[in-house]
Amino acid sequence: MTALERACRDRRQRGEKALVPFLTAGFPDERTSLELLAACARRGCEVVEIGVPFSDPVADGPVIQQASQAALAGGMTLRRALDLVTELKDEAVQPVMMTYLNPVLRLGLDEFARRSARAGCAGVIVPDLSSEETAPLRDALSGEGVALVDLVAPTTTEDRMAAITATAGGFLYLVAVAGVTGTTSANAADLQSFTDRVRRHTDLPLYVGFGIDGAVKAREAVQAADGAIVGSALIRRLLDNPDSGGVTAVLDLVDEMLAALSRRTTS
Amino acid sequence: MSTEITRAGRFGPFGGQYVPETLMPAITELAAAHIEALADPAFAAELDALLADFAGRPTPLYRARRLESVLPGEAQVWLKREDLVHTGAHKLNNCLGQVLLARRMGKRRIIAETGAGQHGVATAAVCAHFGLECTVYMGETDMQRQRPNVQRMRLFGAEVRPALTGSRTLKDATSEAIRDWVASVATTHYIIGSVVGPHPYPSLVADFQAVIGREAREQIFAAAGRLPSHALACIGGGSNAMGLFRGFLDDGDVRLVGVEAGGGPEGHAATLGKGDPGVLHGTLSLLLQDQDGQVAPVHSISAGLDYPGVGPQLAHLKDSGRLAVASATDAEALDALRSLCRLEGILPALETAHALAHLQTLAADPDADLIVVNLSGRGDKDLDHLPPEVSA
Repeated sequence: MTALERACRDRRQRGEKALVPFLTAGFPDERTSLELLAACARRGCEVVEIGVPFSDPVADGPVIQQASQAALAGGMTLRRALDLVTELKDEAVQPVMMTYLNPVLRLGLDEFARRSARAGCAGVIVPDLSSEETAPLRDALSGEGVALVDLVAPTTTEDRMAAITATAGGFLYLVAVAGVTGTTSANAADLQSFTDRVRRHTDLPLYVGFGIDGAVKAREAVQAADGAIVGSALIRRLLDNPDSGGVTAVLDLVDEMLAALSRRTTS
Repeated sequence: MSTEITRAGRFGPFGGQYVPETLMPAITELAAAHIEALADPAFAAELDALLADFAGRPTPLYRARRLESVLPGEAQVWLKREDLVHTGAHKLNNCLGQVLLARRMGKRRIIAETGAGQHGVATAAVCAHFGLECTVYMGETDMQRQRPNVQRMRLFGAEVRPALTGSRTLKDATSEAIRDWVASVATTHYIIGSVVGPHPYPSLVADFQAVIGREAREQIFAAAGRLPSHALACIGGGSNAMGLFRGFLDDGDVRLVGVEAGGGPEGHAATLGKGDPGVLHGTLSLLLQDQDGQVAPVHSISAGLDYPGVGPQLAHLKDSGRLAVASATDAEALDALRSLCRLEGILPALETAHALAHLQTLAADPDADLIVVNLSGRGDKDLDHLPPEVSA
């Protein structure tokens, strides 16, 4: 079992829900993205997601697209994002890298796996890698003890769900609604039934992302699932506060969401 | 043999399915619908009737004698007149096939990407014919340089949505179409306009464009009594090229030649010539990219060739030596466009003019004695943006 999966399972065992913040590496700049991730870790976000900007992010909505463009213009690359992860080594955190496939292919699967492990990366999410094509990357990463985190969507059929969960590790990423990031999320009832459907296939920790725009949605998500992933809502705060106020605005939202998650969820 | 699929959706190492999980069930459904349709005589009959009555097929194979007279060597040059297909390009062949698949799958909304606007116009036309809702994504830059086609799409009742990100060209329109599809996949079919994208698109688009090569093979045989020495086409994503080449893939003596956009000082879009393996828009193929795997900015005067990727089967045909790849610059394409106008009274699309430009080189080859060129589209759409010296 990978360190990521151990951490996620232990957290569930303790009855604690997870909040996973997503931030784009290099947005608004390298230092700030790193400081934000470290600050989230210190607030108790055990898993943080670092987005590697890509020129053509087909799974992302306008907010993350804009952050990606700005980060690329600032010179962010997959290699530099791995360097940022390295700088999180002193934090009690499981960094998970979100990257589109092509930068990984360019670096080489084995080289990427080695560098990820050396940087202290606990997991990797590749949104444009369908389960049909995951084997080579999963093999390379698992040789280094890094988890490849799979995604399932509301459109995923039972057959596919069975195939995906058979090899999934770390945690399972539940795409809450068919759409791109930053989209309007599913309602509470749909989240519940989707999570229930996935649970019948796996006992992996289930983390819900896409459309988790604040404390209310996060709390709805963890009524059924083990964690909530928030990205666009955080980055929107950086976009809305281009001055130094962005960091505080992001961390305020993280605090609100953490408070909502730590309230007893048996209501 | 004719599609050279080594395993599902693979052409040698290229192809595959690199898309968000949300889309995978729809892509699987499409692959199944495609296979079912291929085995269904009723599907073929309906498509053939539309190709005849709505598209105007078969298209002529026309010998360009005055063009031959100004080329080096003794080659005969025959033009496969896809510019005469309804809506002005080969694109309609694919749209008719895919819209029938969409109807079989019960999808009532159609989306498409377009570069030059020819695929968008063809998609809008088939949607008007079948009364389907239609949204076409087009880069803002391309909307400006291909304005007449924007107007035609709107006349046919389509909504044209500008792609405002990145280079605001075909690549970005394709990304926007994929984003729309991720959110609308339950009710919507995405008609990709070229032999790109995740499996089954490269195969199914080639299947629907193969009518070009089937007809051309019969026609050249009837006219010249033998197969051509060369089959020549321009390549952006590669659908007109694959359509023509499919007629001759199994004829090892027929040389296949593809011509990419050599561009100019601003850059190029010569993916087969200068790209490296990479994944964009769902497929592993050759790709113009930087050292970090970011997709590179590309340039062509022709909006339809202005794309950093290429169909995976073409990448494989090139790697295996079956396909020869050349390029023509913006300026050479403009010269070729002007020549065909003056010598034959035919206005080709700027995309097509790249293939015609390569005739200057190819005709000088003593082995090139019988050349079939895919005249893939007509150039009315480009009139607004031809430099004044070309029309003077």
